[in-house]
Amino acid sequence: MDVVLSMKSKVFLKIIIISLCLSFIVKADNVKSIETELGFQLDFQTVTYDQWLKTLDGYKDTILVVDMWATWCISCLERFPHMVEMNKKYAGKGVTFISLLLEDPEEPEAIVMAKKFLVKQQADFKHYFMNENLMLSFDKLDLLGIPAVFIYGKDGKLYQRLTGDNPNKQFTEDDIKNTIEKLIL
Amino acid sequence: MKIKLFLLLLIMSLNTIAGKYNTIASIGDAMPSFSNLPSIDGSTLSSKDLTEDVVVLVLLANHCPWVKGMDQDLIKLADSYKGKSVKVVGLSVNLREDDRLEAMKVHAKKVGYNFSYVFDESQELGRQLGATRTPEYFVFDKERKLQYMGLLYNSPAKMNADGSVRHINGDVTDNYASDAIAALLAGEKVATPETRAHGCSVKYEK
Repeated sequence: MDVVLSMKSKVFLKIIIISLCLSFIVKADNVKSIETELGFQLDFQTVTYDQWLKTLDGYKDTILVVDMWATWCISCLERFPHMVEMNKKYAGKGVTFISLLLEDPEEPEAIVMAKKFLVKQQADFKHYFMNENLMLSFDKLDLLGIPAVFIYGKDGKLYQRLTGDNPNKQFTEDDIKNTIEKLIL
Repeated sequence: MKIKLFLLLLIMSLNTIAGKYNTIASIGDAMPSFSNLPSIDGSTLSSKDLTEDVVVLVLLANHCPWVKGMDQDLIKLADSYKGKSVKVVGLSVNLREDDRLEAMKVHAKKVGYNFSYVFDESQELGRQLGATRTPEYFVFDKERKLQYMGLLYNSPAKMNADGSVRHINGDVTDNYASDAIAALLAGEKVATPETRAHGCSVKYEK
């Protein structure tokens, strides 16, 4: 009897493990299948804050536009298509677009959602995810909130921080474009 | 000379503490006056009508997952000061359809808001407060001086699409807004006058 129960338990356990594996594959496959469907490959990396600083150092001799966003930020999602459009507009003009995702690292489903969003947007530039406590990320970036766009000059120096942190100094896509145009000249 | 230098350094340090995160408002600032803001109950609210010893203005947005995540805790906060001289006023300044007055009425009924909830279509009150997040708390004393601004507590909560709520820093250990209210009612100094607000952006018209 014990043996029968044990076998039943083993079968039950196997079913659970297989189901869990399948659900993981299906979840992972969702991003992959959208990529395949759209013929688009997502360039997505996870970084700590220190790795992020080193990453920024790696972008030399280019005007660097960093879009900071999250799936919980509706304004960010609304702005993102403009970033994709601008990336195309300034291609070959010495301007590099990248994005920095600010989500809670303890919420993996948000990261999957973000990846799907980026693939659907066909955001053809590099994307980074800050793998730090969310409040700490804002603290280290000295930000109150997102959307925020940081623009670095070719010398690697932070030229402009476009944020919503002051109600009287809000920014639009035109501000991003104007700053890029100034730096291109 | 040394005294002058000391005073200068003291003033500089006080300024640094006051507006550490908020780019407009500083601790000690007078509450901006406002008049006839439409409320979800059909009435209007003006600052001159407020008679309580403590006034809490909290920026809200129906659409925001960080507001939805702490809605029940805000209701508990308002409830915990029932019968005390505390006025809690929810304030919506976003102009998107799902944050406007009609949507505010629906949201307040759905979640059970037990405090005044008003709409600032001009966005002027939000601007004067330097409010950029939802949720963001502003606590004023009897003289209507700002004594606390920032978070509700030290572990903001987000509501996910399935309705589950998750605190990003685990269990709440510091109830900044509630502690500030209690301190003011007791005639004491607020221990933590400012924290970095966390949540969705308030979208101001440029």
